[in-house]
Amino acid sequence: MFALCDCNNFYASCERLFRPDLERRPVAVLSNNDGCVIARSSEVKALGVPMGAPYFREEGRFRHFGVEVFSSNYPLYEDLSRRVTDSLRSLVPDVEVYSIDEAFLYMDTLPEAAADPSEFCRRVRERVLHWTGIPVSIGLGETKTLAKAANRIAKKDPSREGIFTMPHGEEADRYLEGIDIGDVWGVGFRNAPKLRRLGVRTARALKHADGEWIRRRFTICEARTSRELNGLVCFPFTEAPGPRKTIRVSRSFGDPVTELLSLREAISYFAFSAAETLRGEGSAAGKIHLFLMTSPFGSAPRYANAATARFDVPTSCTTDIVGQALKCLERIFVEGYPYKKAGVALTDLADGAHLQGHLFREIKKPWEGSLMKAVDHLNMEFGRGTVYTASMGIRDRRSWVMRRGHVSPRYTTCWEDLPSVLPPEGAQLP
Amino acid sequence: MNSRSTTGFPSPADPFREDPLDINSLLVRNRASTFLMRSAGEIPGWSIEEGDILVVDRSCVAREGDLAVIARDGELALREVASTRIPVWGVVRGVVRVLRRG
Repeated sequence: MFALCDCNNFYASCERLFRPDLERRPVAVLSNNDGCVIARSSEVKALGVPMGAPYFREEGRFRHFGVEVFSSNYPLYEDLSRRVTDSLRSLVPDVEVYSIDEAFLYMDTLPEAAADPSEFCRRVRERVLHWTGIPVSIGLGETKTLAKAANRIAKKDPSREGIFTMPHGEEADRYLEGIDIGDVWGVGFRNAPKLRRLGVRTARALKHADGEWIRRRFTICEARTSRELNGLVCFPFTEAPGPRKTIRVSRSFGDPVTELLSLREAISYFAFSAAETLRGEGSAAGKIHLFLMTSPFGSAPRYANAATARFDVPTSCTTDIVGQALKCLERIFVEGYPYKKAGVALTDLADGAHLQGHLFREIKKPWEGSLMKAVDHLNMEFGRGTVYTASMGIRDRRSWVMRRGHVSPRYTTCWEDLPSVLPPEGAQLP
Repeated sequence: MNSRSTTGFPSPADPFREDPLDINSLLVRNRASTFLMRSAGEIPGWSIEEGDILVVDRSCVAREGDLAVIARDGELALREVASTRIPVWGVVRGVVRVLRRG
């Protein structure tokens, strides 16, 4: 038996933790740069605001209904996510963290969990709420796909009180009937329309589709999902995530950027930060990709392009990575467009410890490794952005930085931002 | 100097080695549920001053006589626990005050 534990409206719940005044009030959280709505409290969902709605379209309605709006505060969400995981681990030995707000729990290792999974999950749910203040919903099923489907029901149907167990066999059909094919875990958004066209519109239909037919018309992924809906485990419990295949850093700009110089600064910053992550994971990149785009909204002229470069030898050195990123930029930059978003991705990641040499290039400059170590150390010790490449521009003069007009304090990760607590009633305030 | 750095003789103290004291182990019983807050004022009877850091544990079960954090008029506030029926945000386990800066 698998359980999927999913934090309810996670970012909105995080924003509420130190703000009792926000209880039962509508709370919305915006994406990086205040672009779109990425988390909605149940009150905001009830207003009919869709996930991903552009903020500029909702601003008027938000003001009218007194919605509390927050820019995303990832240091806070990350910290609370870790606390939720730790609370889960205190009760369940096998926890597979799936995303910042979801984790699979494997129910069969603990006898008491295996005996009555649903009752056990009630305890798990209570503990997470008690310890961290974050409400969660838990779905149970014979496979991860069924647990995920059960979680939707746990969340949507208030009478379930946050827990739902998908029944076995044919009994599951009436619940799977209510789940749209596009909402089934593992069905790619590209294949959902195609499945629908061929008459497979719900989770139930995919469950009963002919396996051979699915394999022929779709991918092995859809075929596995179909088997999982039948209670056959195709995606087993995996505690350790596989090594990352891509490191991506991208942002929308606060104001559109038109000048090459500002773009060079932004791209250098993205490449710098990707290289830092790369070294943190002890790997090296074989390729770098860069993309650039104008806003998909509005009437301004549109342009989007991408470029790729390969490193002779996989590298984790910031100067190599920033250098290649800037060369890619020269190739695709076209003057005269208001650029809204850009990003860098490092791929073909290899373990930095056993790198293959290149026949025609001298083996790495021997000082490179220690230079990077020193840079990472300084940035760790004295804060991010202490040492950076000159191409990133002067810190306070960057015109392309994120817009984060509504960001809450970093309550749990910054001494200056600790939540304040009032004295008891009757005591004197200073 | 510990056994891992000696090249000559192993230290006779090795079998008696204990971990040095860590202030966290005194104040933080449960990392997942412990949050730090700052006192906005003086708390008479508790030797707590404005600006002191409070170590608040949500996993503690409040007992009578505890100092607890509660939600009061939409804000976080302190209150001495008189009845365990009132819901609390967390229990104050300790106070930290840094006397010398830098």
